[in-house]
Amino acid sequence: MVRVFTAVFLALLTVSAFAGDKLDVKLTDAVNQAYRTLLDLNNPVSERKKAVAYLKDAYVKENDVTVIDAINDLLLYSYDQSKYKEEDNKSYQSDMIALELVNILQISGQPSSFPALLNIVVKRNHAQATINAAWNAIKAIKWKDK
Amino acid sequence: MKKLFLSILFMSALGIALVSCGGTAVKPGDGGQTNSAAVVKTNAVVQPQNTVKDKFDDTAYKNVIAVLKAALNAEKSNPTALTKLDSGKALALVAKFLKENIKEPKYGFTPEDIETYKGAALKKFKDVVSDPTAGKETKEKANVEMTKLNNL
Repeated sequence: MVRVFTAVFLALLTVSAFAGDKLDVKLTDAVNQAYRTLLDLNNPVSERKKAVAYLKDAYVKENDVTVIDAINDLLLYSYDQSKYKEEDNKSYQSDMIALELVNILQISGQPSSFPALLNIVVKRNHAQATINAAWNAIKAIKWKDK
Repeated sequence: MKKLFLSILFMSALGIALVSCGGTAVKPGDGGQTNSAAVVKTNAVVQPQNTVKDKFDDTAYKNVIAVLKAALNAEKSNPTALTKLDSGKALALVAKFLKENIKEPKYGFTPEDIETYKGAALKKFKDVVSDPTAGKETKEKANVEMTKLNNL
């Protein structure tokens, strides 16, 4: 019995240790709404473009840094289309949304975007224009000490 | 006869004296005193150490990005075991870079990010090892890189 409790305790300890490494990001309501619109690739492109424009304004004009966390998440998961094909209009249009998101990351130069941008250039599940934009954004990262 | 015997004796004595005068040369570096006759004077010039880092070990950001871009583009245009090996090494360098910077909270890197690139590098090395067209030397290099990756 003691062994079982010890095993459960250790398992919980391990899980809590890993949970502590995750960033606890809270998006502002408006950013969250734009994030939700972009999350679903079945949403109309026009709506998603408006959401991207909103995110850009929120970052550039209002300096809302949660925008960057939202974009990183979108690029790492929703817009990483493993079955991307340039001939498929739907996935291509979504990738053009990804391109606009990458351009916002380039403006920001945030180091926290490095994994999301790397994912684009390494996996190459994107149009060449998006991959090129990701390389440019990677070069534009403003490291504190590099 | 007696004279001949005496001259042989004299020559032998002379020979022994000459041999005993010449000490054994002490080889430099064995901890003993160096026989002055064995010291060879050289115009020793201290050669500067080669401090240029291997590009696959240099975690300076500009280098990491340049190496990664070159390796991925080379593999894309010419997918051989060698270019795949270089891609694997470049991905391992990315993992190393992330590991060096994980302690900076502003960057927000996670252990999962490191594992992602370690896994990607490992996949490339495994591809090289299982590639029937890859040369023996290339496969050996891939195995060495896999060991290095495990120690990262």
